[in-house]
Amino acid sequence: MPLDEQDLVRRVVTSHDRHAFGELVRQHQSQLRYSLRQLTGWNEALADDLAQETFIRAWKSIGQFRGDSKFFTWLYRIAYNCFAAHHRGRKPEESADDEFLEQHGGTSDHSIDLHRDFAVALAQFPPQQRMALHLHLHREMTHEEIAETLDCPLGTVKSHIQRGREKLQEKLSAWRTGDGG
Amino acid sequence: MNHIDSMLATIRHSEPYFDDHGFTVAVLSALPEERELPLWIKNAMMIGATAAGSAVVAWQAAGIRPEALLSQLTLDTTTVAIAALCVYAFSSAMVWVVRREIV
Repeated sequence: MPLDEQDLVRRVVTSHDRHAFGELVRQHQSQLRYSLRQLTGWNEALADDLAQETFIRAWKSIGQFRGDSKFFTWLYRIAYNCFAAHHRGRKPEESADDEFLEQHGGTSDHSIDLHRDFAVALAQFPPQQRMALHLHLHREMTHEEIAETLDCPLGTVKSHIQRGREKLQEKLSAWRTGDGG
Repeated sequence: MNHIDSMLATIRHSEPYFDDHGFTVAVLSALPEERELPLWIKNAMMIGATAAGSAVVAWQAAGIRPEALLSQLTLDTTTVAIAALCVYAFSSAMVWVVRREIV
C-alpha cells in the first residue's frame, strides 16, 4: 500500500528523512518524467536529467512547501523553472525537433508514437505556453491552477491555451487519417 | 467531441508508466548532505538576531545597565532616536520575512 503523501512530506520536512523522500520520488517519477518528455520534444535523456534536477531542488527547498497545494503541483512549479532555465541557456540552433530526430532516427515504436508526435508538436511553442498546454491538456489542470503554477496572469494562460489548441489541431491533422505514425 | 479532444482522451488514457530502473537511487545519491534550513527557522533567526542587535544597541547607546533600562527611560531625543531605530530594524526584518514567504 503506498504511504500517505502528506505523512512522507512531513517526515522529510521535520527530520530530513531520505527514505521518505525516496518514496516520494518513487511515487512521482513516472508522471514527472513523462511530463518532461512532453516538454522537451520527447528527449528522454534531457527529460530524465531535468527530472533529477527537479527532485534535487525539491529536496533543498521542501521546507518552503506549505501544503496549501498538492505536492505534485508544487513539484511541477520547480520542474517548469528547471525546464525554462535549461531552455534559456540553450544554443539557438538547437531545436527540440532536431534533438528528437537525432535520437530516434527512423525507428518507430507504435505504442508510443502518439505521445512522441504530440511532444514534437508541442515543441513548436515557447516554454511557458508549452507548459500551460501540457498542464491543461494532459493533466487537466484548471486555468487558475496553471496561472498559479507558472506564476503568470490568468488571461495569459487562457490565451496560451486557446491559441495553442488551434495550432495543435493543424499540426496534428495527419493523425485524423491515420497516417501520422 | 472534435479531433483534438478525442486524440487527447486517447493520450491521457494510454500514458505509459516508466519503470524506475535506478532513477530513484540516482536521485538519492545526488542529494546534497546538508539541506537548506526550513524557512521558519531562517525567519526566526532573522527576527531574533534583529531583536538582540537592537537591544544591544539600545543598551550601549543609552549607557545604562539592562536592569535599570526601564526605570531610566525618558522621552528625550536619544531615547526616541533609539526607539525609532529599533522599530525600523524590526520592521525591515518583518518585511524581509513576508517577502520571503511570498516568494
